[in-house]
Amino acid sequence: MSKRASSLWSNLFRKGNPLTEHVTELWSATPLFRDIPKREILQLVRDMPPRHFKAGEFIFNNGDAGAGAAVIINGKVEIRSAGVLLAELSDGDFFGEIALVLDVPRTADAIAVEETELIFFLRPELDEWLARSPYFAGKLGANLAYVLAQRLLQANKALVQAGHESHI
Amino acid sequence: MILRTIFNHPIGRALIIYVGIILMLTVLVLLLKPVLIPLIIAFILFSILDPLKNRLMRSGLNAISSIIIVLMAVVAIGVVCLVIGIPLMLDQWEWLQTRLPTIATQVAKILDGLGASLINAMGMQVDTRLGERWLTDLKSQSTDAVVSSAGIMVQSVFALVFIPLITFFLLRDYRKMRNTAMSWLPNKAYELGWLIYFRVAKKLQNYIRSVFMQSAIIAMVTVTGFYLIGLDTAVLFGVLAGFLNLIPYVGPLLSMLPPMLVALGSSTPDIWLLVSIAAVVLTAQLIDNIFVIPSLIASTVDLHPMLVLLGVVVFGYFFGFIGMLVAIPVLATSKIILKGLVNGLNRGTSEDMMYAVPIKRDTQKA
Repeated sequence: MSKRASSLWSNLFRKGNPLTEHVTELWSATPLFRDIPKREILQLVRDMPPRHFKAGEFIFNNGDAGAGAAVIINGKVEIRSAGVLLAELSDGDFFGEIALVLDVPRTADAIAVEETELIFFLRPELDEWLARSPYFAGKLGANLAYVLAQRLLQANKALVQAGHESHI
Repeated sequence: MILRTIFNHPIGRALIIYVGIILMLTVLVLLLKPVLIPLIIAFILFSILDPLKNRLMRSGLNAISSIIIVLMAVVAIGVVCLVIGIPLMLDQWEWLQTRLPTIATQVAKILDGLGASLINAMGMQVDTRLGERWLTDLKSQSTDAVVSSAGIMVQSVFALVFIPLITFFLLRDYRKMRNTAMSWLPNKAYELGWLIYFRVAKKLQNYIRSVFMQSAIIAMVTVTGFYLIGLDTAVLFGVLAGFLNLIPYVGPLLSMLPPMLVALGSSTPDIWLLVSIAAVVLTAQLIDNIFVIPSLIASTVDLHPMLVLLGVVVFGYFFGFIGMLVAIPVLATSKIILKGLVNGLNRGTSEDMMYAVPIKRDTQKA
């Protein structure tokens, strides 16, 4: 095969951007994108550039405007509220999903503990996806309800447990 | 020192950033001035066509096929307009031009007569040569229009190529271009920037779609009405009424003016024709106010009528007809940006803060 022909074939069957494919895999593994085909996720993340945060930098503060959720590509993030550590997150974890549903300020702080790279999935993107592909965007809505309901259950359990401990 | 004090206050910071954004947008508008109108038209087309593209994509077509089908439909409509509508309007325009000197003389006479009777009746000093001067102005403007028509032709050909091309790229790559532009925002302003963009884009797109739908309905109603009352320039003035309807409050009044001048300009002015013209325009406005505005426009812009009226007059004074058209979108956008910045930067005092627990930044650093 000539060099020209081989380059043509390699163009036709070229691999996509490795970062985009990696981010697609990360989102696909989260409960948020359960049962949503990877090609749909790929369309969503393809044009969204990643964000870089230095160690100690605030990703968002309690009370900041929240526009969407983020998945950690690499690095470590702490979620804190009123100085209390709520969660330690690392590669593949996501946070900030409340902002996909409600237009309210952030309810906790997210801090990059080390050099962190993450990618956002924002409400405007969800809105446009809903117009383009309502079936799969609706599926994300159902997954989101599931995730938030799980969080609510956990919070309820923690409250009950805290109530018991205070009685003892 | 003063600037630093202002910048340290959230509202001061919001105002400084707002002024910065306005300055940047002004510079951008000045830089893009030669292609600004085709660019605005391409964005308007994009706003109208994007939902149609999405509808096709929902039926299983890929993005490029959807864009091509949508653009082909637009070109087909454009061709139908060029083949049927434009010659009809040009015929009516030619007829109007042949009648223009008679109309102008007749209207001048009426104006002069009106001036004289005002002096007699009320002792008011009115320039009695008003009509004559208006006629001279009109003639010189017609000559200027002929001279500049060659330039307009060149611009039109450029626009005919440029607009579909830009619309195609916007339909295909807008998301990518927007996301890249948003990625230039600093980390601190990233989400706030997206939120403000989201609100502005949603409002503007809804406004553009609604207003164009509204203008199309007004144009159809007035063309039909003018045709039924026997106006020779029904299509020309009906389409003009549709366009003028893009200007709030002032537009409907302006749309009544040309057909009334033509009616007044006939050798024997028909009072019933004048009443019928007013009735057609008022009927169109009635339909607009009862059916169109409540279902299409009401929720698109949230501006006080006084502000709208002032905006239209001030923008019209400084930027002419285009200024009147863009007054509402510009005012609505400015309001959302300012409100978004003030609310977004004024953390701790926003009414939404009831959901958040305020804490000191120093205590939670990892």
